[in-house]
Amino acid sequence: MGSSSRDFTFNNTADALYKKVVEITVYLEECGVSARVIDNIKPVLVELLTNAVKHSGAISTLIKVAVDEDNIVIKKIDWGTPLMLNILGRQLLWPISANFKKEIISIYNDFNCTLKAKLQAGNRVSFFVEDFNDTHQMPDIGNVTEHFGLLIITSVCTSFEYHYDTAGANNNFIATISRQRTL
Amino acid sequence: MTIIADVHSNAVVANIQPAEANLTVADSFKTELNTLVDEGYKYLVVSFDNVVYVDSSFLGALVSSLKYAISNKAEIVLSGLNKDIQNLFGLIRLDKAFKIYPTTTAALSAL
Repeated sequence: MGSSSRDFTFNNTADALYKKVVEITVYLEECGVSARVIDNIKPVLVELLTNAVKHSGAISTLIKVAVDEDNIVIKKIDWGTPLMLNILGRQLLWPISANFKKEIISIYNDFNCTLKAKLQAGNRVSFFVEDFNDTHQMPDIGNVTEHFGLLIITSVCTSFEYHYDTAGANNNFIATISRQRTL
Repeated sequence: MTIIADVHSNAVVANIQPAEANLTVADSFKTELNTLVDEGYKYLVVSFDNVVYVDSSFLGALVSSLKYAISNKAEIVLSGLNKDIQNLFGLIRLDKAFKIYPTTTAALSAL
């Protein structure tokens, strides 16, 4: 098959969230994406749209979905509040200061992983997860995080980035999921 | 009301009512579940039988309640997770933090 893409508009309300998830997954089915991969993508869509409801402050969000033979790329674009990250107790401001470029920061960690972000040139941040262990022991519950949104997306995706477009003053979350990846 | 409590002789089953367990009900869910802990129940089964999906806000509320329960020497176990929710718990390793049973009956039998 070739490549395909479609744009979806989300009105940033919780009531419309799951309907939009279903609408996008129906499109992925039409593109021939397997049920297994769609199952993996559902929580990514839920968290991207939840992020829009909770944090963007914009009245709508554009979701651009592109499918090719290898990957599904989901871009979430809004003109609301830029992503808030803290570095050493101070909020990261956009555009990123030259002092912070190429720095790796920990966003949060718990008993099984650390969620990190790499600051990059061009006002980009890429997220990645480190230190998953495979212990079968019950964790110390006090060390379990209560913040799962970015962790869920990053754990599913082969890459997950945020880009703040200073010229257009818009926020771009870019989630790439391999059609071959098995979780 | 986010949960309906079904009291048994030595446990309480908290049946989640909304199909969409998301940010709109996360706070009320946590409050209602913590109230059951305050009432003295020591074994709480949270039933997901009605739930289609959960989001990170709801998961955060669930973990917060688990911490509250443990600090009060109570236990929270889960039942009735559909395939998508079960996979999500595995993805972020929450299946290590909670005991998960296929049905409420199985969860009550394990006590």
